[in-house]
Amino acid sequence: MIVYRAFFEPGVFGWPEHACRGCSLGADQVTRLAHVNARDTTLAYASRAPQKDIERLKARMGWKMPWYTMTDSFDTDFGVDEYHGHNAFIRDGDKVFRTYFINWRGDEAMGTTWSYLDMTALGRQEEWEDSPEGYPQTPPYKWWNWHDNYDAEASPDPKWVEVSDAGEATFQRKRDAAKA
Amino acid sequence: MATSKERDKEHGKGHLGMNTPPIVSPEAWEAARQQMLVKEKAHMRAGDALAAERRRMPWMAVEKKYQFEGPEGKV
Repeated sequence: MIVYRAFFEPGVFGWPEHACRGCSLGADQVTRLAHVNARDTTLAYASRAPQKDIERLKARMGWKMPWYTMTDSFDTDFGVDEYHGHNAFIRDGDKVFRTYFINWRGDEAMGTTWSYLDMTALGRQEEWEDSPEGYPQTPPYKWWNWHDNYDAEASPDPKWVEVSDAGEATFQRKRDAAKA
Repeated sequence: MATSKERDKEHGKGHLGMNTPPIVSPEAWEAARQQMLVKEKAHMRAGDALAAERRRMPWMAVEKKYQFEGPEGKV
């Protein structure tokens, strides 16, 4: 799970109509989360503003990501009390671990499916990645789906596997020809 | 510092009013791109290696139970 601390609360420039400009720019580049979710990873935004303000802001700005209200010392404990940042966590049964933290200019690059997966403890979970032994990994491309089709199609459609295999083979042939 | 008008005369280029890089043929442009591509690929692989190191970062136990308000109440 990735938690982005966004500044939306009394005292922040723009309140109560808007969240902080930088955080809002970042929120505008958050991808559709179906692909991240397909790798058993979630992204959530967290601010101090009450839910009713967050709901209004999301509707106004067209944002769809889950967005929670912080109630305790989460921000001070994870380095996001004064400045925005992305914290990555992993859950193992009922235990939770903090695995990574990205802020400042690192935040600017966040928003794509790959930027989120790359900051998690398990990565993209694809076979080509150099990960510790036993990490969950499946072949690249095969798990990709249309964002509205992940639920309907739990395992890769054999036809898509065929198409993506053919695509990879063509690409490999071109690479071999270029080397020869 | 040359005015933009003087620069236009010097380089025979358009009216962007700044010091732009050389204008070249498609072949020379492609050669320049191929040179950059070597660096782009090295940059991409360095990113992959950094992500691999991230996956080997130690984990920090989160001992406190944090509470958030969501659309459906406390979580």
